[in-house]
Amino acid sequence: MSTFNAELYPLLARVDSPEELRKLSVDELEIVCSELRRYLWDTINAVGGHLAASLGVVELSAALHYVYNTPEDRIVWDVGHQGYIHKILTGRRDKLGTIRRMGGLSGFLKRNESEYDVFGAGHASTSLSAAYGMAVARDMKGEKHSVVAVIGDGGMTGGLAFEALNNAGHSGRDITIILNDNRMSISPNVGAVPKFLAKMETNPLLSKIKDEMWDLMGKSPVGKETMRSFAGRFEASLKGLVSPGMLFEEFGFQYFGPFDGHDIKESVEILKNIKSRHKHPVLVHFLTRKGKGYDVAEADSVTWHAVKAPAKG
Amino acid sequence: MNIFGKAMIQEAKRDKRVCVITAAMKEGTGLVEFSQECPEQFFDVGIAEGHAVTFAAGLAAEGLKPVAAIYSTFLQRAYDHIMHDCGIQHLPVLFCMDRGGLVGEDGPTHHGCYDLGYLSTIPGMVVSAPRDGQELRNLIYTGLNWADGPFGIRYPRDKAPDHINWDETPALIKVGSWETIRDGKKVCVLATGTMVEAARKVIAAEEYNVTLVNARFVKPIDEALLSQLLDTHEAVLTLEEGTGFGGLGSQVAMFLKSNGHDHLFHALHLPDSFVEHGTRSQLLELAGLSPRHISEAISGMMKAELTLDPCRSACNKTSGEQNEHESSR
Repeated sequence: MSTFNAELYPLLARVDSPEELRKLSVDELEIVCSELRRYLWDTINAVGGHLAASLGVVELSAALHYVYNTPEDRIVWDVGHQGYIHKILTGRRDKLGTIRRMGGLSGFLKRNESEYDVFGAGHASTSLSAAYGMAVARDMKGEKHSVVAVIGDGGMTGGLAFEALNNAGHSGRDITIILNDNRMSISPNVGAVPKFLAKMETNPLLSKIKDEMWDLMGKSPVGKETMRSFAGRFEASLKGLVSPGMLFEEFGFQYFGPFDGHDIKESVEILKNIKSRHKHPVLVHFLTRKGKGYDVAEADSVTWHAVKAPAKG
Repeated sequence: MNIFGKAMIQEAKRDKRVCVITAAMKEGTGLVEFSQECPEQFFDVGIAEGHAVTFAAGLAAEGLKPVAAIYSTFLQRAYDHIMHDCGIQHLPVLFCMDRGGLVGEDGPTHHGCYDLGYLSTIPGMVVSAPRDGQELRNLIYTGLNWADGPFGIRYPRDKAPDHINWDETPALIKVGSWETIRDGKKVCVLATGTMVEAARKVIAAEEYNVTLVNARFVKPIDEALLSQLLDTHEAVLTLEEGTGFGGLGSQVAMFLKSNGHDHLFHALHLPDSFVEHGTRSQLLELAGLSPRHISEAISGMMKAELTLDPCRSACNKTSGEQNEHESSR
């Protein structure tokens, strides 16, 4: 059953695949996001399914597929119930109305449903371990694509996520973690200063200097860990005042953020910088709101976490 | 000698897609030489069994051939990762579980008693236990050539006699196939892993004329061979160094009942209680799996006119304890 009415969502109608999405301008991308949000809301309220989580990642999902060359670049979604937008963008737009119905789309991600679902999930906290495995495999095969894991702040509370951080962080391998932080109260860290600092960090020139310092310190006779830890602490003393990134940096991930995950233009800019500049363990922190765009769902994302299909009468 | 480590070096040199993962047990699992000879294919992820398994699933998703070398008892910590990340996605991760069965002095926290049962619950998973070192090598080779989902091999800490011809390519074993060790009459003994050699010795020493089958796959069971054996035997005895729930005995029993066979059936397995620490032979005696128990079970079935009490030895002991417990309330 097709629930997609091209007249209602004219720009989204052109997006049959991420390849089409990548042909759009950033301004058009913004419009696609509003169409995506509306299409998701209309469809899921009609047929039932997880709603709030996907409403919260509309811009993030679009930005990821816009910047990364999926499916060659791998995006591993934690849990998977926030994957509806990803599904709409990856050739399953017209089937959204079949979600969670027998024979229809799965409510989670599945490897056998789409080549864009590179690793399936349903339970939380597995994405970092899986993505790290995929990053190692890429290196063993001599390939060059990006591997990105998208994990929520909830998934990040699972022990497995920390086992993976512990293992992947100091490997030096090219892996990007997107922390989709949708906590209900927006962090007091959000504001002009951290935003400025974070933006500065993704600036190509400044990051180049920083990367070179990092490499240089690795070659220092004093002992690379000592030097790096010294430099890290120096940097952290400034950054630690305004951001929660310390934890991840201790694990060996370069931390960027927090950013507004609903600002599509900023998200695209940041991800482009990350993709082109940072070939080591990176964590990018986005703040999002579950249920974003619909007041009722934003105000009570617990109730709107999933909606039931209306009873037929 | 360490058969697993040596076999892995051979396989990893033969196929660069092979990679071995350990959760901080490089020494215990016999991978020190491997880590030196194939450093690019070796991954120690730290004491993080869940991560080790999901990490392996990520490697498998990209077409590599990951081998998770984790003690049986520690793999328990990663059950959902085997189910959710490997099983549901049919990802071919090979699990090599050292310390399968009773480990002896380390006691109940370290016995590898439950693997055959809990792994058999995972749809599509292959669960196997070799009878000796050569078969371990063959199963590793078979598992690495298996593309349809997770594949488990469990083996004990025991030293295997070194009669392996390392120059020979290992053999591919048909998944789910059993092997008849000797043909006999009336009683068919189905043994897996360590119990094959234990049963062979008992049968040889006592000169019992019974059939002995190496049930090297606990899942899937060899239904074709089992059906043939049922046609020519009156009684079936299963032997496994593992829990009675979900392993060889329970699967064979289910097959018998589901297919309307009324053969005399008896299963020797570890009791439904936590086995204490002690030497392996002491514990096998305590658990009802010693050569004496095997011998009594076989001879009892040989003599039986369908009168054998199907719940003896280990099983009896457990129910006895329960009764005692209840009466003291």
